Amino acid sequence: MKKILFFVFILLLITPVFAIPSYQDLYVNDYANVFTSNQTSQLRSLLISVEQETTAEISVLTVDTVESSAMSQYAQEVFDNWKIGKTDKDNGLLILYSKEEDRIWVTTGYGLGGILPDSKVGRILDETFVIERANNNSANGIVLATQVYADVIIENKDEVLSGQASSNESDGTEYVILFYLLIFIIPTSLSYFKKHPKCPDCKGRMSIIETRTVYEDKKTMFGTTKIPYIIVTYRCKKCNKIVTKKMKRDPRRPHPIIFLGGLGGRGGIGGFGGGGSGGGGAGR
Amino acid sequence: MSKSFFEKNKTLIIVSVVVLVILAMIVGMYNNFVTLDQNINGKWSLVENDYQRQADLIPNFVSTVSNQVGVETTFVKDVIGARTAYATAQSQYQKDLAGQQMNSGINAVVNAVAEDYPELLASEGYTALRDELAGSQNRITKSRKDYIDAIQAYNTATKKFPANVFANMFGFVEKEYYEATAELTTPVLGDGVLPQ
Repeated sequence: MKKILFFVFILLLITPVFAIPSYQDLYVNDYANVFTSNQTSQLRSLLISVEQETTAEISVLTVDTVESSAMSQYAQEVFDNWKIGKTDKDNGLLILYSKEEDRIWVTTGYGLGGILPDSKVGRILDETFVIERANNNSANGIVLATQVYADVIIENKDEVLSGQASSNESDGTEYVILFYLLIFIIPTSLSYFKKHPKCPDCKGRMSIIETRTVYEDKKTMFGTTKIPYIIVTYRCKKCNKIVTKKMKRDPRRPHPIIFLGGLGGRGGIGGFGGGGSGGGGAGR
Repeated sequence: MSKSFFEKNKTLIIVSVVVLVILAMIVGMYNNFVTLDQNINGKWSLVENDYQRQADLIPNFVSTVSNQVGVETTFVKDVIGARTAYATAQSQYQKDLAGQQMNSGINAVVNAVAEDYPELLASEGYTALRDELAGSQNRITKSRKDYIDAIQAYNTATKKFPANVFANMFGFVEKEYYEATAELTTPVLGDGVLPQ
């Protein structure tokens, strides 16, 4: 027991540093309160228009503290977790700023590596963020850097739109779909035949006219109880013959198994496009 | 009232459907193994791409720093040697090991420059190179992680029930993964000349 407590204690110690935050907004998550509300809305409208024009997803994240040597790895983990950028184009860009260390790291998605190679990412930071940081104006530096990245992406709109071919592996979804299809199709087709049996005279299909519930007494060891039965009246479509059947379950009500299909399913919060990054980027 | 075909052969129909479903699931399992296995190969080639990217950066890097640092110094020779070792490595394991050594060799040079050669550090050409090198290191870290994750996913799939029953039958056995530790060994190349 003590071992478990100790382990949990250690886990709690290291978790805050590496806990991946969830996003509240697709464009600016200013958890360290670095920006003025003016800067935030400026950034947001810029990034929204970039996405509308080029489908590229740029996201800015500020956190209180990240160990400097761990910035690139932390940014990578956030990028992988949020899946920034469109799935087929991988055109995501994450700008991570840590307030206490006053450092920035920019991670580029697979699809942006052509127009934003690592050296260019770094150079842009030198020309904007580093200068502003020297003047104690890091927040403005982030805004300026973001604007330059946005410009580069918009200038190269065509390349971003066409996107690099990202690796096209299947992740097994076909089998999940097949499975759900099977557990849906079988009960559905069985219940169809129950709802539309064959007419005994002309072999046509019959459809249900009405259903009635009747109760019959049954003697059990606890006494006499009333058991419900369904009397179903069918009419044949071809010869108009009326047939009645007695059964236990109303065939018109959906079979219970169908509800299973609604459960489970793939994860995926609505939000970012599902893009990935190969580890490109730079920081200051 | 005569019974319909479906009512008469109800048992047969149900049994055939169940058999079909089971067959479909087995086929699905097999294909899933194939997918996971191929995914490992795919992820490894991404690792190789990133190692190659780094290897390609080294000549430019060496020539940029050689004016100040000199190719005769140990760490520059280590980097050149590691690049050769990577190029000549045969097996996947050897390549990974050589790649990791190349990686740490570069680290050593970058750290040495940062400590002892401030002019070089500040020059723009060097800054661009350093960004590219840092980027290539990050890419290698990411693609190796993806590669190891792919192996883990495959191994987990071969062990989970009921798939594990069929895994061996189909010939999908557990794969070992390893952490190639980057220890710098004395490189073979001794005279600091870049291999062509």
